[in-house]
Amino acid sequence: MEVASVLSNTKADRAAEKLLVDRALAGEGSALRELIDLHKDRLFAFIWRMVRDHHDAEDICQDAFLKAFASLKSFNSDYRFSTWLFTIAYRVCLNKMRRKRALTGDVDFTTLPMETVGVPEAAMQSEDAQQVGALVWEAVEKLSPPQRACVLLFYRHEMSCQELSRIVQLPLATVKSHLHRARAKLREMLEPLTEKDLQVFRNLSTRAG
Amino acid sequence: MRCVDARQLFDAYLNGELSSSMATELQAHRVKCADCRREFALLEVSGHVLRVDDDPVALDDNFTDRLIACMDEPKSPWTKRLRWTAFVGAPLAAAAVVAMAFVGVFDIGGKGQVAGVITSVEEVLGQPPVPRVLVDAPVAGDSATSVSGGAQAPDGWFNNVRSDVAEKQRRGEPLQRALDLTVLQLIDILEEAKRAPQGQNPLPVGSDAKGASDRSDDSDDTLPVPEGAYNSNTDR
Ligand SMILES: [Zn+2]
Repeated sequence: MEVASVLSNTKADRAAEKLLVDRALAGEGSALRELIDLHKDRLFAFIWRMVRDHHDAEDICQDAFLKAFASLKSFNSDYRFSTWLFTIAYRVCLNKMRRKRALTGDVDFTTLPMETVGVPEAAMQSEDAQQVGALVWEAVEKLSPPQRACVLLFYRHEMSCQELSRIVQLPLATVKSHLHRARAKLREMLEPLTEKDLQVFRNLSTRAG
Repeated sequence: MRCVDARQLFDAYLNGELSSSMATELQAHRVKCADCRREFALLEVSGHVLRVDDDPVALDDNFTDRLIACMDEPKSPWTKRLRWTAFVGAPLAAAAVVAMAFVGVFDIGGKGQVAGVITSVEEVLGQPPVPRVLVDAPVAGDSATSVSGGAQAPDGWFNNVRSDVAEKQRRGEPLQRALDLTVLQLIDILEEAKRAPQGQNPLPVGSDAKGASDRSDDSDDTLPVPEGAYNSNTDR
């Protein structure tokens, strides 16, 4: 399967990434900085969607980079640096959530207090579309951590199921089943949508391409 | 195509795994069937939202500077902050650095000294020397006694690292992976230590080997090394 990827999808990109990692390994500070700048925003966005706490997300993001750099030598350039980074970050997220759960008693992940940000600043124009967006994100927050990670990585970060499997460290079939369940839950939230609402989205996606 | 068949293909279609002929059949069914059309539209709407909505938060501009600074920071007691930052030329070096950091064996900033450490580990593990080692600021700072309360000789950590790696090799891990797993586990231990309340010895004194091996790779508290990191060309 071919999923468009934002980073290092082409051979040239991979080669550039390898070069960058090699320079970082050789101790070039500027390469390190480049690696951070290249990945930090996407990584932070993913982490924040996982933990929904700005401060925690920043900590986790920092930890993930430190850990990734600490083991940079074992990074295989046949494989994307971002995958390695996201794998570490996901793990740190889980540990953090587990710790929080321990502090708050035996609470389900999904009931952890989440940072409230109101209606997401939608890229869509219509008010209806914004409300639908809010419904979707509300449903995302209720997903289990692996399900949430799977939909975020798949849709938002345009990763393949194979990459998901690597990042969440679960077999491919399990990842697909998480995606399936997550989709079903999100879809359930949208049950009230009318044919007219759906039309709004069709127009939006056509416009978006 | 019946509805039940069509719906079974939704996931494969969304995952991009459907052959073009099957995809065409599915589309044909959608055109005819209002129920499936709606069902599919609902799935697509959530996918659309997930793809295009902006994130309401962002990292501040200084993140990179802070991270770099954190990696460059001069030594200070490791209990206050995890400082090892290091950027190590090899997992073996990392294992050594972390282990040495615990026992406070080397002084910060001495690349030659680190190379010396590695040589000593290599001798034990029988590996060829690691040619390139770059360590800017390992944790350390405190002496062995403040770390282990004096209950453990400096060699203890080394031995633990060694035996932990050896144990993983016995379980069939390639050396590289065994080393990485150990390093990542040690990093986790360091982090736990960082979180431990002041005045409380965060390390499992006298049971350090256990501390490391308890966190074996099937424990869900440890950081796994992704399989793919060791396979070539499995990535699409
Ligand atoms: Zn149908």
